[in-house]
Amino acid sequence: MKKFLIVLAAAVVLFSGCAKKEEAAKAASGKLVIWSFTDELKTMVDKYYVPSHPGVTVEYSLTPTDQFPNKLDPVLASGQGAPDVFALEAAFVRKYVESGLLLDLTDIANEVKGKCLAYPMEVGTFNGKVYGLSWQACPGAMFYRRSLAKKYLGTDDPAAVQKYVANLDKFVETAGVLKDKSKGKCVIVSSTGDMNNVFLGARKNPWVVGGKLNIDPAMLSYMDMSKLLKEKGYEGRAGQWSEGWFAGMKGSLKDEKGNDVEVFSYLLPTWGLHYVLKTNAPDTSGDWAMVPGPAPYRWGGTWVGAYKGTKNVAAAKDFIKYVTSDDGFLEAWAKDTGDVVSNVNVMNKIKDSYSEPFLGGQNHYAAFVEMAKSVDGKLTQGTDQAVEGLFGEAVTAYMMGEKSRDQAIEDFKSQVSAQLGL
Amino acid sequence: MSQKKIGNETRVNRWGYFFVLPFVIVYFLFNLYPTLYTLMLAFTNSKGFSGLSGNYVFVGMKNFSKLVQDQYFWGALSNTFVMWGWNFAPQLGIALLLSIWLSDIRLKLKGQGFFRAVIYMPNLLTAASVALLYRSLFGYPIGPVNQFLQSLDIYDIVERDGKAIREAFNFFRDVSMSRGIVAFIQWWMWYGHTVIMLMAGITSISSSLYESAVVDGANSRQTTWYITLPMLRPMMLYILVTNMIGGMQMLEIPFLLTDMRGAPDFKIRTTNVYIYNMAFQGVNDYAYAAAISIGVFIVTIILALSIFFFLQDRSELKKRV
Repeated sequence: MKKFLIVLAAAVVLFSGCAKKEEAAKAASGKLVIWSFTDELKTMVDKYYVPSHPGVTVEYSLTPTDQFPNKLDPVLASGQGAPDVFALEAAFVRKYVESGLLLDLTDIANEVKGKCLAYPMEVGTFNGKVYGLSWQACPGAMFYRRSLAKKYLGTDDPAAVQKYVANLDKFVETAGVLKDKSKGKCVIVSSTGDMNNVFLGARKNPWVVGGKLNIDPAMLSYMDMSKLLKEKGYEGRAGQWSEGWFAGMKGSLKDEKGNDVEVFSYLLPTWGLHYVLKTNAPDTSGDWAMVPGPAPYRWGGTWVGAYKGTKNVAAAKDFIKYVTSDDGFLEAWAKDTGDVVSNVNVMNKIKDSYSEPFLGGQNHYAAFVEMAKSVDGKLTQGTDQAVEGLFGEAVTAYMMGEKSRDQAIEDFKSQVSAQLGL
Repeated sequence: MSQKKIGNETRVNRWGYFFVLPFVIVYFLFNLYPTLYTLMLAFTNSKGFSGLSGNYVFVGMKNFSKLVQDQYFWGALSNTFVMWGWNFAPQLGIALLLSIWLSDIRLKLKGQGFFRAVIYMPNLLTAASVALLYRSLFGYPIGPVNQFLQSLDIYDIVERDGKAIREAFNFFRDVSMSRGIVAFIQWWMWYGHTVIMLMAGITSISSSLYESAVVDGANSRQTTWYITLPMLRPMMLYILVTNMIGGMQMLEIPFLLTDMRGAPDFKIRTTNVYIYNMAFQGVNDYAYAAAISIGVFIVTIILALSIFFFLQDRSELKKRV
């Protein structure tokens, strides 16, 4: 008996670390479990949703973005402990939209279609049904330094500068002008990676067509553009998100010989202004301005979806509809955070009342509203992140002169076939 | 009388089982079951979202036939070997030198304990921080190593727009340099461990052997070559096998040093990085990743057995015969 108890004690010690059993049943309607990777959604819940919907209790959980899919995948696949509503980042939103594990939101989507921007809904649509909606639009723009524009192009007025970069050919021409006039000091972008999203947005077809890999001509142009920028020295040789990339924003980028490198522009989306430029280059405030740049594109964004097997379908749908399309909420949210929202009514209502000191007083909101209209959301797919990671290697190999363009593309196709089966 | 004796013996034996039980349970749960599960997965088509929740069918040897024909699997194996080989040979050589010097009674080096601690310290660092450290060290175009080379006026010559330009070295776009850096990091992190193991081996050599050699007039080179090295052979064999097994499973450094895919040109993609890319990135092809890990397992076993077969000390066996 004694020995049995000892063994039992040992086993209990072992198993005490394991997870508790699931709660028998969730509370009746009025409780929502919401998961996200930032506290953006939490602010929406605490400040706006719960005060206006007193019958609903929300349980919120935050997991950092890079661990978020790892946490979400097993619970969605098994159904045990799955949240009711969750946020989905642009990098992996399609994986979940295409998974068949999300709640069908087509009825809400049809209700709000008229007042919502097209592209976020397109991203959340799969096989004709809508699984994810977004409260924001993230069109991409080109932010340039006013002082450099005045010095080398003679003007810093956005309308005039846009003429210099109206399309990709003009963009390259202007890069040459900047380099010549500055005697090699000024580069048009700090990294060839800045051009990636622009060309992705210029595609006519997605990466996978009919189950097979499809390399859109725009991506071949991206390879050529990267090589051209590198060969002619029109770029600052930094990698995106590296120290050099941030240094260029502050104006402190140097090359290996210690000479200053002036970076003319950065291609960033809506959140780039607040989360990247303002936070990293506060001292340059007022010296920036924004233009649409050589082509419309989008970058990032957060969608909201619900789990297919949620026990609280009504509350989940109501929450998503509120957060992604409610006029009153989105107007308050836009005024609070400066976020570009996807509700056309709100956009048109507030767009004329902005003046951004960081951009020298420019009304960036109105500019973004215009850009958001020409973004295509139908090109995004679940395998994009993996394919683009492999394509990045091909572009770098060609750009650095390690492989010929055909060789790089052949190797890329071979890798995609081996790793992704396309 | 004899019954009582048997009774005592049985009870003592049962206690042994109870003490071993926790280890056995943990081993079964966290070691044996996952290994068998992986083996089972390799025979299925488990993929994607619900691939690990039972949404698969058995497809026989399909993954294995794909594995044998997969040029990237063999490429990853060759990458692993090249980087391990460049790490191991200097590691054993330098560790031998250091361990012999540090345990030489005649040399009486001061601060032996201090040296041992300092040599071992790189092993205590997490691989992730080391990878980031070296990534910054070899940064392009500005980084400490590049700055040092430039102070000696050493530049890389690249061709841009038809002209030859002097530029900083782009270390992580050069295959040999990237592999060399990975091998160097592995060496730097593990040579301390090898020194400690070898020193343990040396202290176990009976000092009477050295004394009789000195009496016979042997100098230090002769004692090292004829006494220390042969007596260290079992220890070196152990180090070779464990180092090889660890080397075959190299993951953190090649994964985190460049772009998590084995850049440049996938040439530092080891087998474990390949497994990670397959299973936890892309389309989550768990079945094929499981097949790759079984493939690595088989290669490791064959190598370990060959090492034992060829390098075993036959003199012991011959004595018994």
